[in-house]
Amino acid sequence: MIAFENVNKSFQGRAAIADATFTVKSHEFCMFVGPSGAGKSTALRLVNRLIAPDGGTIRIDDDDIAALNPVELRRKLGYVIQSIGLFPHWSVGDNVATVPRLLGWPKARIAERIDELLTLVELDPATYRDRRPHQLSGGQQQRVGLARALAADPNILLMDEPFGALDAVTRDTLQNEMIRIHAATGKTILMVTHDIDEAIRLGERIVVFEEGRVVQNATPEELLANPANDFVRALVGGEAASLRLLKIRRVREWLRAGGNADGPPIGADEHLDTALARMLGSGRDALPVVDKSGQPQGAIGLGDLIRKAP
Amino acid sequence: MSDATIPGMATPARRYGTVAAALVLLVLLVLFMPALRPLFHALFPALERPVYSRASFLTLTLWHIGLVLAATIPVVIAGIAAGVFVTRRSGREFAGILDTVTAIGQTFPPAAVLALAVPLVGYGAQPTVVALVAYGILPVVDNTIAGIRGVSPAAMGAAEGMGFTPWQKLFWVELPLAAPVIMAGVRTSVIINIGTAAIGSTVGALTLGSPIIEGLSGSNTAYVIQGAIVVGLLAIVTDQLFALIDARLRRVVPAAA
Repeated sequence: MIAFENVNKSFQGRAAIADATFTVKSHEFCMFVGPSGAGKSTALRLVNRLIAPDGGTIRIDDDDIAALNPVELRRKLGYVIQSIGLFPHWSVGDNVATVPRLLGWPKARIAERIDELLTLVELDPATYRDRRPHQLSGGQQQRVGLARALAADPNILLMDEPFGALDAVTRDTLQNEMIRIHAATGKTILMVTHDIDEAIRLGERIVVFEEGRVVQNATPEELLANPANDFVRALVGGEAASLRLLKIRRVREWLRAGGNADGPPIGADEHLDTALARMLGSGRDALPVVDKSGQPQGAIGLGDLIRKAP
Repeated sequence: MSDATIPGMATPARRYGTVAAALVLLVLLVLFMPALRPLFHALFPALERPVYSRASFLTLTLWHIGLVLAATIPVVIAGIAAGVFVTRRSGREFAGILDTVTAIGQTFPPAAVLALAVPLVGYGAQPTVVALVAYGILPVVDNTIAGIRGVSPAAMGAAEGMGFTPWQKLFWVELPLAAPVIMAGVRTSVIINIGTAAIGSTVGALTLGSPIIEGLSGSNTAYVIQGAIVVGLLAIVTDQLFALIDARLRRVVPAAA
């Protein structure tokens, strides 16, 4: 659990974080979203004490982080940044081993852990372990960055616009990886983004920052259904917010199990906007749903979309 | 990973070849200069003793190298330490002062440093080493600062965020990544001082400048040429050795760093 209690921070008299109070639960995937200069990155860097607050308290599992040694604290928190920052003079394996080495793990355990993590981020250990960062693509580099952050098995992962510099296709792939890795590891993840689509897609909780203030702290559905103010309404796209939701939710999340429909089926892993488009295109108001192996899962209809949409 | 070969650039094999050729020529000249007596006699028939013989060229060369080394060790230690210090948060305000001091050391003519050092430390090798230290420290300090400032801010940010101590940041990230630039500074310093050490002979140090200075004062052009050629070759060989070190370092630290 990570708790901000009345946290304040200003730079040169300008408030970067103004009286922020919110809690992120353990195992939650939490997104900090907002425009540039809204304070979301500052909030993240307060957690690993790269920035010291002017006032207020930040707690991790009831420990006031101000009382912890910052170097030891950082070794317990995974950290991923937009510019990746792999050490160019070290191999991929050595980069992944950074924090275990800082913590003095035995060599054999480190070697094992390197392969385990490269496998987790879907880089073949035998192929990539001894490569140098400059021999990798941007997306591969950020996979290594992610493996490095997870190396010492931290409970919490801090990610500062990790996919902001990647092309759209790579970003999409890595977003899927994050969903998979979060499900597999159960880490508490704090991720900063200025991309509302990314926030809605990945986040179980979204904290919206506007000029240093937390203006809304909600699940993606709540955010889309009940924006707290005009700023958040504009951020989620006004009336188009419900279409945005269809783009991120999958058929399996909203289907009627046991329901029936005629016609060609839709896969349960398709996005709901695809389902809607297919209904509009085929003139049918419901589609049968099947899983990957073709087994019937139920049906999804226009009524389901209307009922569940915020 | 194999060396990238860029057309027009020295390949590793050719690089080793150049070093070896220059080194062989240097060794032969140093050991067998007296054997060139007929040549210098033919070139300068008016000279009664056409080959410098007050000390052997081997003695002169070893003293010359010794003086440069004696100056280079403190130059490297103090220069890197000073450069590291002013790139720390606590030392940042001293950067300007350090810059001024090292610039004075470099702009002060070495002959003047010698003249000032003699009353303090006497004649011979000591004032020469003092002058070489003063003259050679600027490139090392400057390149240490430039090298450290040039380290990728992303790598430094990651190191900070992952819990490196300040010493770990320095020894694991900053110095290794700055190494090629720092070594370039050491290279400049050493090459400058191989040339500068020759004037140590004006205050009684035994160097390859001894035949040059005696030749100048005694109108013996042959001595001047003999001293100058050996100093020049020594500088070329040393420079090529640094080129080899540089190539190795740059294989470890890619240019993108």
